[in-house]
Amino acid sequence: MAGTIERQDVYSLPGPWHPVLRAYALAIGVMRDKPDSDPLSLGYQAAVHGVGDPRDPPPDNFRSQCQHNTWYFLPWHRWYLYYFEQVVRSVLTTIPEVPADVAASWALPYWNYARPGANKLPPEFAADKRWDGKDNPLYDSTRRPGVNERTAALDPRSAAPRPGVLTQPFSSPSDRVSTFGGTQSKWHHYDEPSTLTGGLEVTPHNAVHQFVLGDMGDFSTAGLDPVFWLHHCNIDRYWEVRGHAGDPTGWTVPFSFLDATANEVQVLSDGCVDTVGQLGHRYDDTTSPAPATPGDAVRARRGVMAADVPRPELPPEVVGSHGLVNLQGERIDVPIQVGSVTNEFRNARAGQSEPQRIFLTVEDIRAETDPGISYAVYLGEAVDEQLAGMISLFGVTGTRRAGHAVGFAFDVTDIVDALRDDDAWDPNDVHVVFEPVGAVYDDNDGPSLKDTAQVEVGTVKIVYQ
Amino acid sequence: MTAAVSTESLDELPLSEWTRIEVARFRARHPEWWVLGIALAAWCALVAPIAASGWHASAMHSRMPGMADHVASSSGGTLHPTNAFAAGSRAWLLMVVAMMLPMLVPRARRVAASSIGRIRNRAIAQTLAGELLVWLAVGVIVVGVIVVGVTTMAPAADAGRVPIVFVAAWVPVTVWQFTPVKRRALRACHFVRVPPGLTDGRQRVRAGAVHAEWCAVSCGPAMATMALTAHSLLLMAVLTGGFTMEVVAHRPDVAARGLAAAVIGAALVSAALATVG
Repeated sequence: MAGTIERQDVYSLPGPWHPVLRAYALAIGVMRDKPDSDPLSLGYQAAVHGVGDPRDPPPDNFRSQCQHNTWYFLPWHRWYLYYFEQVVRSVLTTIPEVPADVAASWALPYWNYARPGANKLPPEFAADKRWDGKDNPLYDSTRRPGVNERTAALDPRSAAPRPGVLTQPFSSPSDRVSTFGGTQSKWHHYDEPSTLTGGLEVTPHNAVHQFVLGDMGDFSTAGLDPVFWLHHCNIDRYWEVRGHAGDPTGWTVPFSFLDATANEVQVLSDGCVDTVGQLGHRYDDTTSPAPATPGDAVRARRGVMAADVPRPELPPEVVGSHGLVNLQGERIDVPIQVGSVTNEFRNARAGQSEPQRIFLTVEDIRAETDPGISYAVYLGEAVDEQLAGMISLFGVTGTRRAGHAVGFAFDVTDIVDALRDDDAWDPNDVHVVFEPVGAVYDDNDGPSLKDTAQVEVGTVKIVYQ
Repeated sequence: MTAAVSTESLDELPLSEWTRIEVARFRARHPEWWVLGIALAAWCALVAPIAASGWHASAMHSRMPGMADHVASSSGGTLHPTNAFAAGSRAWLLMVVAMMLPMLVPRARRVAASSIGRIRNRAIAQTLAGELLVWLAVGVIVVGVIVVGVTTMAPAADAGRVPIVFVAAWVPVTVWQFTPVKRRALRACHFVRVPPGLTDGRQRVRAGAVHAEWCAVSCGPAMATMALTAHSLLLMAVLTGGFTMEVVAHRPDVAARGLAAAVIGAALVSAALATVG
């Protein structure tokens, strides 16, 4: 496709105020000044990402359409970014200060917070004044204290997909197994009871929303923060990092957007898989991120969910469960007894009772308000190489509108295998540890994590497949 | 961890072993199989009287004996209220099982998936017990009305067989599909939580009952009309399918409007066939 544009890492753009960022700031300024009813306004673009009340239909085919906790998460957001980028380029052509070549080739940059030294807000977004001393449209005063001051950083464990996520199956009809992209569903606004958040959506997507907070902390206002678009550009990039082997073939729900001329376009999810051929853009860097911690490196070496391992076909079976757990900013140790599988499980597998995969699920999660912190979930001891995953609860407030709860699943097969090798796995005495994780502050000068908003976890389960 | 059993290796097994594995796989993929089996048995029990009397045109195309007929015939022509109530309750239970269980299949699957494997079937049964308890309570009222009606207004009991009266009886049900109360009940039906794998059976029964309360508001008018008039297999099938669509549809309010049209259409067809049959 002619004229393929390249999306670049914002931290790789020579600054301060590289022409791409300067143009972006000018465009955002113009878009902020337009009325929210104007499809080219920032307010309208942000409203597209709303959820609204799941008991009511959206106001039209374009607003309150965002897809989360579903296999449509990635393709919907990819189309969303695509049309936003078109809108920005269209606006840039109306701004005399923007050179014509910059306007024509402008591409949304991405924020790769896993890059060493890049886990703080990009400087051009943190300054309240721009290059000429005027108010900076990229600045958002609602962000978490410390983010604009650049004294707060994203925890490294939340800055990249967790080990194994990039090689997991894209999706699954089951809501008890971990996937890259989320459970299969219909059009989804918490109105289906059985979906799990995909691994990429949990970490780093939810974690970054929760780290920046403010406008970024709610579906309906997240798009008002100009860094939202760079964040989602990075999330979209991870789909390219993963590659497209095993992409779903069953996406059937069409989505509607307004293009840069405010005309309706109806799109399908498989129409955006090839970014170069179908959308006309590429990413400058699609290499896999390095393990964030030594424990992650250990898990990566063990091979969590290696891409060439055949996926189990049969439905999973719950073998252990613990009821209600309330998380409120303190470590909690949850004991679970893991029982034996049923005869049905054994017979379906021709007499084999050992599972192919083992998952740890944290389900039926509800909260009145976002706690603003994440929780690290460990299987067994709270040590690095037993970190099953991170729970970041962006969007959990959707559950208070009588919608269905959110849930997460982590593949812990390698952890259990390692514990067995060390004779440390006792099915009668399994522990799941929840450890609160907040932003990382310079000089450890951050607020206490205690007394954060309560999060109710319905069940914690061990699942065999 | 062990490797999967390949399809090729399954083909090498003796037939009995292969069958045992495939049955286990079917049950693993469809834990709700016995729920549908019970619903199917209820349908067979409802259709059997028609088949036993011969598939002549009027029975096949049109009417099943209405609930009032069960009540009136329970004592060989002499109406005894207690026997009549028992007969009517049995008929009501059969109708509820046939029509409600299919629409509870998605819920049964979720209960099965979220429960520890060894108590999966018990969890489904406890949830369905809660649902049926509510519908039985509704049945007490409906059958009670029928018994009183037949006792005090015997000639009027036959009014439901008159085609124009039969169709007119379904108009309120059609209107009900468009009301805010119906929409509210449908939404609540969608959002009642499935117990998240709890092991307390009483909580599962209670959750089933809470869900059924909203279902009774949503579907109760149609079920009551079915019981109070002479009804047809066609209408019963339309309602069963329509209720299930309301449960699984992404836009249940749209499904409800579609069901309204289907109900009045089925009522007209049934009345027309009864007239010419």
